[in-house]
Amino acid sequence: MNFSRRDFINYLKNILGTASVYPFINGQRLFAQDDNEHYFIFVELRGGIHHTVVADFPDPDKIKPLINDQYIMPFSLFPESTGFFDDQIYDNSNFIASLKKGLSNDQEIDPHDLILHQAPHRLNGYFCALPMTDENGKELYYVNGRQRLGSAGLALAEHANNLSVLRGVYMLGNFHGIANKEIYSGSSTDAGPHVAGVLTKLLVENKGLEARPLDNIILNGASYSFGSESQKIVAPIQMSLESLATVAGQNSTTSLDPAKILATAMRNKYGKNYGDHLNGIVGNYIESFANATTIKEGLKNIPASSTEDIYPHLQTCLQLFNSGLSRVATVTVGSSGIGGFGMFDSHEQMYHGDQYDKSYHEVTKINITSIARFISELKRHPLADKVTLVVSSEFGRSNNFAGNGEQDSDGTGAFGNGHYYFNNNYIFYGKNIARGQWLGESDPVTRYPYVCDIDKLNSDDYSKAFQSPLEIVDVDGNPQHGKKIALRNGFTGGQLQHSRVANSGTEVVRNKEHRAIMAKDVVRTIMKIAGLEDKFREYYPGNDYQDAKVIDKLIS
Amino acid sequence: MQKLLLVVSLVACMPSEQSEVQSGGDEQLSWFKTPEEIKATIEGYGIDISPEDRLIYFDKLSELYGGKNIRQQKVTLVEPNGIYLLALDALSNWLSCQLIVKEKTTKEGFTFRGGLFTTNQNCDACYADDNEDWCDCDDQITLDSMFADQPTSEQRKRIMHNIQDIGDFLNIAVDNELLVDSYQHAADYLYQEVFLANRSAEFSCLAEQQISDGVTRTKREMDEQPATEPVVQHYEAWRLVIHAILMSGPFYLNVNNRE
Repeated sequence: MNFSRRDFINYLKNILGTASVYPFINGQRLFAQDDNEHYFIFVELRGGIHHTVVADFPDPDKIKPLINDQYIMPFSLFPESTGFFDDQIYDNSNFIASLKKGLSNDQEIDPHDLILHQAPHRLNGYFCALPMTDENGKELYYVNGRQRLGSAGLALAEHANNLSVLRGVYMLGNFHGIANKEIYSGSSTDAGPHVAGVLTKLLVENKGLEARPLDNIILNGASYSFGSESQKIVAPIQMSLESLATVAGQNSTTSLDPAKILATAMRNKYGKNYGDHLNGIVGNYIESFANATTIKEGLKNIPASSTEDIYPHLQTCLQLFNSGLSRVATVTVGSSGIGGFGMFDSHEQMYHGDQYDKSYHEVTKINITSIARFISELKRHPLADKVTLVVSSEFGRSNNFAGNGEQDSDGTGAFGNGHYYFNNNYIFYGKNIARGQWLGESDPVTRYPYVCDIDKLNSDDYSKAFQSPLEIVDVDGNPQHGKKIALRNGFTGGQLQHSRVANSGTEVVRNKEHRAIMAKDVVRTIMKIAGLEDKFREYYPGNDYQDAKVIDKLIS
Repeated sequence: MQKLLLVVSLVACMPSEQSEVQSGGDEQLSWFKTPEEIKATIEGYGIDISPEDRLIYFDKLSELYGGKNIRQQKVTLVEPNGIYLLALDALSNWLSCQLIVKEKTTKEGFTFRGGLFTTNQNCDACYADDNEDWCDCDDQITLDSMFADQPTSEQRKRIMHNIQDIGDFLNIAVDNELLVDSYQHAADYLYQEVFLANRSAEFSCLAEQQISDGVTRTKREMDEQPATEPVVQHYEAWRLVIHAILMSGPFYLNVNNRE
């Protein structure tokens, strides 16, 4: 009996599903794989509703939100921060009753959609945190902390024991704002480079791995920090997925050989007139023909269009790794262009702009589901033990914040979910990542992160690592918790300060004895995950980084 | 008319003082055409750029040929690498399609006849003379000229001259002085290795766009209802000739850096 290649592919499709066949039939491997190979994918989901991942529950259908007044807390907003909604602010009894009724009736409400149904984003003045319970009403815990990250993350439940989560990471700015630089550089001021550029360089220089043609690729406008000149990282190749598909030339069978021959003839005839420098550029151009052919081969079947779904981007990363074109990739979705807004940002009409036709909550669910799907596929992929995936987002953002606290110039908007950079989260999976480590604490109502003693966190004395949440105080240091406050755009309003961490963005990061976990700790941890922690201070030398610590519990 | 368009295209090829091009810190390196210059040149051909094409070939790819200020971007004008070249390849494929489609729909046939220095003098005798290897006068070739499986020697010389005309239109001298190893000159190489090799190939641009009686069909429309137009001989061959010339480099040079 003949068993053709097509039969084999069909067999795989039947066993694994269409998507799972993809890594097997695409992306011809163009380079040998080193035993020490290490690939990295850095994902940024800009903004973000709170995504719940609940660990260790046996049956997702049996979990339900924890109904507790503690988690439904009215906040009266300053009239000036809410404008024409004043008359709705101080009479919320009907909403509270409706919310409690909805929460208590799991026959009518899908927990996945509960937030969307029961807490419309325009009902400013309230937020509800929704910890999950098991079927007996017991709040779910796992290993090192309570798990209460929003509803959309349920898709990740099947991987809860194989990935690690770091919650309550305090940043100096919001996603799609300055935190875009901070999340993977540890600095919002270009003080340090994106760790992807550092790893790209050092994995070649220090680990002896082969350089790749499309090393350090950035898909769809992910943000990037270069650090200073002295730090000399590998510069990125920044392009959209559409660009990658276009240069892959899926619809073209054009050979580049005639062009190369003609280009060489042009140089032979006119090169003397170009001047040495231009002639050198022409030389590079002609040499790139051979490289281009290799790249084109490795890019076969790249998805031609991107969507609000991050899955094709992750899939493309895996193809780039498998073909040997790339080693380190940074990915985001939702930006309309380089440096554009993120679709997870949700102040106005659920998005910035109107280019997307799905709700904020839907898009979040799509992407968390896609990340879960990608992890499932990665488990079965030949490169499974060589890829580290890091996902970051403003997961702590909850519904019913007061947008950015201000109306737009046209008198609309500003109601939705405000920036909430106090409590960002990272998900880790893959090579050198511990399994099932859920670290970090945040206040269930305010979602402010807890102050963290990382040394204790790295010890077995976890309970003493997180003592209390950051306090909300006014400019005079008076506690404001539970009072009328404007949950607005962080420091910019000048009304709130965050005790124990800072009076200003700059001071937050330096030498505070008591502070929350910050992105610089994550960056140092990633360096150690890559086996390069000894190079951390060389690339992150400033004062801002001197107290950065490795979170060892995240590392296997 | 064709001379006027040629002048327009030449003007459009002049470097823009307001270019956004970033040249790695060396201001003298505005060497390849910027997207803005390429766009102006294309518009000089009288080709409209659809919003979709503008997005794909100029907005999405612009960072790869230097039109976007991305600090320390690995893909640079100074070191045009593989991915940079593929970006130009995508643009060249698109542009060659547009030129062919334009030629098909323009009654006057403005693109492929009459180079910079071509006279209207009839030199049939030169083309017919086997002792003459190169004739630089009106070749009478059009996009729809048909040839037997093996063109005659006279037809070969006319096609080679038309290749030179295309080069002239793109400000690139593909003449009898541009030499390719083992071939008499570049036009002969393109004739044999590109034109003859592809003269029966299906016009690949139909997969993206088809213009019939002034009607443009989108790719989606094409997918839903495949083209019924039979294979058009030579169109793809001419397109690939244009592609090779575009990709040879000088089209993406600023004219002030040329000889």
